[in-house]
Amino acid sequence: VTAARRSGRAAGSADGAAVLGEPRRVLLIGYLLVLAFCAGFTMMLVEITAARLLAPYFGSSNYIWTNVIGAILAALTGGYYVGGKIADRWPRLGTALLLGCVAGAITLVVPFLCRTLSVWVIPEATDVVTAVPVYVRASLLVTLLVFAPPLFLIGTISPLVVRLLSESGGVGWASGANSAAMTAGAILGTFAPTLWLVPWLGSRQTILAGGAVLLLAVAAGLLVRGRVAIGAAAVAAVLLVPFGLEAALPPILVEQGLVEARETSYQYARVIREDGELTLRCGIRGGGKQSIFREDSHLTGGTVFDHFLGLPFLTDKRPGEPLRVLVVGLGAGTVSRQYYHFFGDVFDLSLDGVEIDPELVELGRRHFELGGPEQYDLGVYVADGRRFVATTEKLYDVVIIDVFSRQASIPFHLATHEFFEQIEQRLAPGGVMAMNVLISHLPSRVFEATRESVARAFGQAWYYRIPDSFNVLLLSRDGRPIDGIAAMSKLRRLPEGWVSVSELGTLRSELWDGFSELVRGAPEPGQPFFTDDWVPAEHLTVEDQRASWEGS
Amino acid sequence: VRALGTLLLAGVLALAAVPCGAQTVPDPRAIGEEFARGDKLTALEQVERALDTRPQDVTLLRIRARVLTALMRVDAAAAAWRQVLVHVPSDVEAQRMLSEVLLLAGRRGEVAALYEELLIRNPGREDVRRAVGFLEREMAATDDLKARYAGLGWSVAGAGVAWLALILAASAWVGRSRKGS
Repeated sequence: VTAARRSGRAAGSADGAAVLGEPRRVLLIGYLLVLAFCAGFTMMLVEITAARLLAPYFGSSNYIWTNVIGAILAALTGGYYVGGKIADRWPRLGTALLLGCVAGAITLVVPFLCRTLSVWVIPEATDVVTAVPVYVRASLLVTLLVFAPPLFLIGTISPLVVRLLSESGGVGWASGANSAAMTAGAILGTFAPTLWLVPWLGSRQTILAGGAVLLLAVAAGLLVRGRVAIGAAAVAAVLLVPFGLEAALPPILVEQGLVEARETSYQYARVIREDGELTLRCGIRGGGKQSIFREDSHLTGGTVFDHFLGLPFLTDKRPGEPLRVLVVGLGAGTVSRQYYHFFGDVFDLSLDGVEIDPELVELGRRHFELGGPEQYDLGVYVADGRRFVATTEKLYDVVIIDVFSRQASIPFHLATHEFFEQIEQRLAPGGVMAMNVLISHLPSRVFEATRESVARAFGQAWYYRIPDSFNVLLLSRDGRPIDGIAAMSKLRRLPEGWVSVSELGTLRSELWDGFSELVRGAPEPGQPFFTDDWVPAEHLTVEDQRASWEGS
Repeated sequence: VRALGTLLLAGVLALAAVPCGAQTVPDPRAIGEEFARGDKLTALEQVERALDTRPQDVTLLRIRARVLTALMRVDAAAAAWRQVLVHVPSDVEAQRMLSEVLLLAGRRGEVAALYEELLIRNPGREDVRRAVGFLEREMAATDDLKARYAGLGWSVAGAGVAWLALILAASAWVGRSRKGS
């Protein structure tokens, strides 16, 4: 404002500051900067929250983020251009308020539109494992239709603010002040959703809050223009409307048997009761089961969780000896429950579980018996798996890596050669590492590159496909072979009364189906592998799935 | 003398090479041990060698198919299972494995043809009928995915063009209003 006063440039217009008295001029300049700040805030808030709003329907892969950012930048580009023309034609505060009002109002509709359109574009029956390319395009369409309109309108506000400010000072100052105010708002709009708003309100109410902030700024503009009564009524309405809309919001996903749903800082987590078991799902509707809980059994019907139970028999450990286990990707604790049930009395068991999402741990404690009385020596660490492995000084006999945070593939930093080298350093002599890799189709370049990454870190990589599933268990250890026959023999020699006869028989049969198919592999010269610098896992997944369609 | 020496050395090497080349043909049990130990590549090499001398041996053909399946070499495995079925057309395990391998390779059309053939040959088999039903649903879902993918491509392009048109129209309208004023 001081700079504007100093430059003292004036130009005539209906709302032009030059025709106003000094206090009104200062008030107008201050208000315009507030409007720019709020526009920047809502802009970034919508952008950051858009990906979260899309995640339950399309996942949160890098493709989704790219679509969101790209479409929104395109909308802003158009908005800035058209806004410039509008600013030359109608350089009035009223114009900016009208555009802000429409932008804010449309923002309030975004959560409704997003859900309706997403459910329409991707029917529930769509095959999650092979449909990633469809999700990529669908998310771009929804972004263009739902998120681009409010951002386009927000974009038009900026040139108007510059134009109006320039009536009180030089164009350079006006442009700089507008950019600074808008960027400051954008900074707040970047941090606020992730740090406070989404964990507190959820992603849909966060979007509503963004729209409400813009509408509040518009209402304040009415007060600045002297429309006190209308302005006050607008402020009151804006404060009330989001609450009414919040009550009208339908559930994010309609899923049969939903027990509890939470929007965490990382994902939309649901506990669902289905087919006699409790499951934790974090990805797209109908997607994979992150955890399974059965009241009548500790086995899960031959899923990868059951195959993790074969790992202690692949180590050099004997009954009675200490067995130290690390689970990267603990989820709600299916593996820990199984391990303490099956091995709590056989080995001197201690298990550390690493989970990045604290809310999953809480859901596990509440619904999945995570940390129950049987799990007396369980260590739960809320941390990124890579970071934990890099910093821990403990050695483990069994390391289990079961991480899928982005639906399309393994988190990229947990599939690289460097990460597996860190794992190798944390393995005790004779220990074994196992990683769950999802394949939708063979040959799978993602699997081959992951296998090669392991092979280069350990000197060897073993694997077998888990029968009747899309999962491959990737195994390795330091130097020594992985002996499935010896493991089965150890399993047969376990003490009497170890577990119920029926569970033991089922487990033996499941493990034998896998161990008998074990394949040993060595590093293959020329085979691509993932490094911290090169992990196009999502890209390869999409390409492999497209190839699968061509094959069919 | 040098030529004679070279000739003698070549003769000795040739004699030495004879027993190396004439390795004993591994029997299926030995191959099975390699298989169980996880040495699938060695097992594959041995079974190929054994098949050179006994190309019609169904046990060896079945082992080769299993090894290739475990190695996840889906195309070669599918061919190997088909070869087993040439010899034993009613081998249920081979049929099941072939369909699984073809499914993993994304060759659903071939799986459907396989089951249709099976249904014709075994009209009363409920398991085959169920499998055919499952596959038909799978193939319909895949066709739906492909159609949806193409449709979404057009929709995205349409939305992009609509946006561009809107921006140009808005820009032109504002410009015309200015001239009018």
